[in-house]
Amino acid sequence: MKSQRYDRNEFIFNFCLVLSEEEDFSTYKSVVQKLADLLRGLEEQSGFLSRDHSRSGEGKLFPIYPAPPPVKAWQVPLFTVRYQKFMDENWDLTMQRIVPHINGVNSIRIISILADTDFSLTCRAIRHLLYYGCLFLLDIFSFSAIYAPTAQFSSTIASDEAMQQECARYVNTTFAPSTIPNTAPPLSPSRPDLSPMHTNPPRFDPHDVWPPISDPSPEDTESPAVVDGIGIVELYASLKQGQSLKQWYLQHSRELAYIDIRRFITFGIIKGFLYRVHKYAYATGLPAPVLKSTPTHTPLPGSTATTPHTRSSSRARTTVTPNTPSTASSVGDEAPISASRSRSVDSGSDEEGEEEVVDDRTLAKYLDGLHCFDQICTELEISEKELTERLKRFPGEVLILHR
Amino acid sequence: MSSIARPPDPCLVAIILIVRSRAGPRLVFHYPPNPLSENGLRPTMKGRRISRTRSGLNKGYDSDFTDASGTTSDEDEEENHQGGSGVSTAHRPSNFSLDDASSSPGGTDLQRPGRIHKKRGGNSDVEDESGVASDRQEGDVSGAELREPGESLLGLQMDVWEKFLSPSRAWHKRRFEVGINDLAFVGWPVFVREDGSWRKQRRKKKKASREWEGGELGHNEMEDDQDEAIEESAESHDMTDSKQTTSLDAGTAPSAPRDSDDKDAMTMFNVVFVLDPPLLEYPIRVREIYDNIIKKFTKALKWEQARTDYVWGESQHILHIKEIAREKRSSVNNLHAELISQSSLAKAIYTVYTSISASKIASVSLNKDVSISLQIPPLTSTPYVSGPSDKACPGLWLTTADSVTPADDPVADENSSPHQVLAKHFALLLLDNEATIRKDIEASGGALAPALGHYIRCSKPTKSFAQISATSGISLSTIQMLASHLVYWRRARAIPPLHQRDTYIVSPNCDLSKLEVATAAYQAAFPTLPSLPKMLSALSGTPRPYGSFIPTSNILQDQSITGDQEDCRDGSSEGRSRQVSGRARSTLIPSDRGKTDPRQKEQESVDDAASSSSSSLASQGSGDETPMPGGRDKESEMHMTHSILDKNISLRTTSLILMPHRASPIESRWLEEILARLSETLESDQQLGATPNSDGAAGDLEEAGLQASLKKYWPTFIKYFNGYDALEKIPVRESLKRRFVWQILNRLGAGQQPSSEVDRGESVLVSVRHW
Repeated sequence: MKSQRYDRNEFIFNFCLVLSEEEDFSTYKSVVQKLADLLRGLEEQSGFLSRDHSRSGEGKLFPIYPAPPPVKAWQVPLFTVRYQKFMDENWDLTMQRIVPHINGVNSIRIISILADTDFSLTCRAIRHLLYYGCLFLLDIFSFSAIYAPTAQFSSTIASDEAMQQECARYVNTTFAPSTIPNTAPPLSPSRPDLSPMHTNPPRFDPHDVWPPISDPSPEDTESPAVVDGIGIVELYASLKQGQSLKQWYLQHSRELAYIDIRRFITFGIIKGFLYRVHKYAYATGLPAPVLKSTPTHTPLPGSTATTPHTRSSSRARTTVTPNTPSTASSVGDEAPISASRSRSVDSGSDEEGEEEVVDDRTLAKYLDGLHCFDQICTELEISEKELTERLKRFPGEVLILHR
Repeated sequence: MSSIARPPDPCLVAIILIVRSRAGPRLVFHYPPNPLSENGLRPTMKGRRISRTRSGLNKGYDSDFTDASGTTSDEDEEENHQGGSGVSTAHRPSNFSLDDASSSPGGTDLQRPGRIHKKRGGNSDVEDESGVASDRQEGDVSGAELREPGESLLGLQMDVWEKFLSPSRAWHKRRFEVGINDLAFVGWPVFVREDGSWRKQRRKKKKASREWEGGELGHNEMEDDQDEAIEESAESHDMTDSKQTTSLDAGTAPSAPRDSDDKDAMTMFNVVFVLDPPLLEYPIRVREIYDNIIKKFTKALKWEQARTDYVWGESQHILHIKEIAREKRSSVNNLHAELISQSSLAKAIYTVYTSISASKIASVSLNKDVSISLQIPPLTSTPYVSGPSDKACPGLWLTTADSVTPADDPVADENSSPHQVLAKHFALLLLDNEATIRKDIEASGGALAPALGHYIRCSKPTKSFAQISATSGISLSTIQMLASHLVYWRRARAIPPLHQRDTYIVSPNCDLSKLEVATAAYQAAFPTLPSLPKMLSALSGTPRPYGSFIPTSNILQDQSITGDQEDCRDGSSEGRSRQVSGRARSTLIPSDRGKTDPRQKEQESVDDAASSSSSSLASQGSGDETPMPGGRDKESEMHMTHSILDKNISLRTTSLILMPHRASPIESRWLEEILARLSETLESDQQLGATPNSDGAAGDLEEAGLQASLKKYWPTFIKYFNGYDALEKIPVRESLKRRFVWQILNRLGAGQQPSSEVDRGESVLVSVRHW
């Protein structure tokens, strides 16, 4: 700082913080900057440093989090906190409008439509919430989706009885959370400073959390059968690649009778022991095989490949309710699902009338193996069933890859 | 282990060589000529920047269509956050981004290393700070071609750097690290000894050679501070090399000439690496490059300095060329090109810079006697699938095969670090074709070459190290040493042996953007197999044993497995050698056993019949028939239960014995009970002549044996039933026939097929197949 008032016309100061080597210094950078600014200001005003007064100031360290990656139109945000608790009228307008539509069911695109907000602003708002750990990103739930366990399975749900109970409370539809927060289950990794998590009040007797099994079938009615902790583990373990939720549901419908399937899956995703297996289409550039059973699939000799699954499962999306009597009947928060879904279905069926709403050129851009079905469906605004049908009419061989 | 797989990011901005002599410190050489400038010769950086920008644009929405300056996405994000603070909470350090915006854009920005920002940030702050920085900054950068050489670097005059980067003797062989804004300057300065020599005289043969044995072979992996065992075994080879060098050494009479015949002598040199690590990864990134590159490279220079006065000699040479260039007013880029072609030290720095910033292996040769290979060992695998909010690292090998599991001897957790001794049950998958690797090995010469060549010829990805050792006569420890060498130098990966009966899927982490390239490579390598996309598509269904995809005559089998091998390689390899990498990433299929099925958690769920938690044994009777259902309800009666741990849990529920090999007393009783019941069931099945298992084609006969086998192997198997050990491990580790093992396992309810009704009741294992 140059000034006549200093003996040598200049004053230099360097304010240092000494930290131990292991300390993460990143959070201190802002402190140092702030201090430097502050001291400079004070010095300019009153010669604070050069005259050696003492005063006190306050500072606070803010942790720095990694920037969240860009969000995608087909991702589905779910609150990990109750936004009502900290939202106020000072919030950004876009934020205020989108927040009510964040429910673990609506994709970001749908949210921006429902909230009537600009899409890119919506994405930004979502990223803010993500940055602060208020949100979790899920995939679009549908019965044609495939989920499978990850390597974390053993260390989480399988061995953690508390987690099994937590899961039971979260998915058991007999608790029919009439008011039902659409919040996620308590998130272990959520940021400490912001998790006024809901937890279902411990009003449940630990023995009663287990969802009953549907048919009071044969013999013993005396003790109603339940899906206990291990039952839950087994249900999760029976999810696998190549098997749509619908197929899985059909095999386990008795056990799933009082389980909210969407929440069941969400729970696994959030806890990290499940992952969504996405589908990708890849045009090989070769002509479509002619008389094969399916144009979209050319199973290897002797292999059954995936055709049947993809095919049959693609129906699920449009027919959710019939397939899931249990969820439909039970869950309070099922409403948004049907709402949003019917919306997308509507738009889809509109288009279905005219052939090839999506021309081959447009479609071809998505057939590079890099665009998952969720993305294609979201961007082309068609349902997965329509997409699958459409792919069959694509001139040229198209292979479906799952990963 | 961090839960996030970080893609390699060397964060290398520049390398600066500073030497100090009596005349004072000199900045001798730096590379690239114009660090952080757009037109610099920085392949990686550029790539990185471009890709970032592009990705921002692709997603239109988050990059808000700002001007095309190229800095858009970063700036955007910044605003983004700034806005966020206002909007959502007060948590955001508010002056953070403001400051950034005004004085050092991007400077403190979270973790986006906006290259360009940094440059600007650096400049502007420098101006603020010291006034040294010229106003010609911008001119410097853009008009680099015309600029006079040597004037300024990163916005500061050369003489400022010279002072700044030549520390006092206190930093001799210590980590020298200075941060300016967001750039870190890291070095390992070396000072001349009091007696004027560059290393201790005594024991110099041994000592000195060890110091940078880091790898004149180009394949020699060991680092001095690492892995004693392997180092021992590599010893012989080191010795050869050191002999070579030391004999030369003796002949050259190290430092004598320098001291006497030169009026000036060097007293210190410091190779400073300029880094721009993202704030959140700062410690990791700096540590990585310091340990693996900076120290080793400088040690090699020190060694050569001691031996032939190399650094000083080259420095003078470089300074001389620069002098001439200044007179001729040649451009910076020309000057650098000339330096690189004329000075081996300049060339070495250039090589380190270009290779390391591209995350490749740098093979540096200082002169004909001394060469060294350096790399930041890449992350080779991760057990975590990345979620939508994680940074993805596509193509990274997804596996838990190298995690330590309860069945491993807890004392010898051999796999804890990738380049430590590899467990004997692993196999080696080459990441390039065998011939290429053999050729490279031969070309590199080196003492390990013959052994490596021989081993590579014997090695098969389908055979474990132990098996290969048995058939080839190479000792297991040698195999492990050679294999880890190949793994460390990115030529191979250790995997659980491939087997046709194992299940493989397309890895969730597969990088499909490489599919096209990989398809071509695959086609070339396996012309008779279905195309790669078809294979992948076939592997996309419900997981099945690999063999079932290819109707196999035996002949084909071999091939198909090889194909698989290819897939595996692809999938995972992080891009090793580049050709491989092409294919490599693309497809990852390897989900193999390791992954796919793996961990079955075969936990035992014990069940028990009876009732009360502990008394249950007594009431066996009822239990019997619904015996062990690990599960389920149907047995509804009381039996299942046993919640051993929580007495209060109702008996109707089941529980797992998570650690069967360390079962509590109560759990042990359940285990006994289970075995007893299983035997009973088997017996009765036999009597009925019923083969419950559909798979028991050969079954009836074997059924009889099964009971005995079950009893016999129960104790052996049980330790794998912990949820962490893949069932596929059992046959490999216990040297049993796969088919046989699976018969028993199926019997226990761990079948791959959805178990039949009968099984259900008897199933005592919960099994899960994860990616």
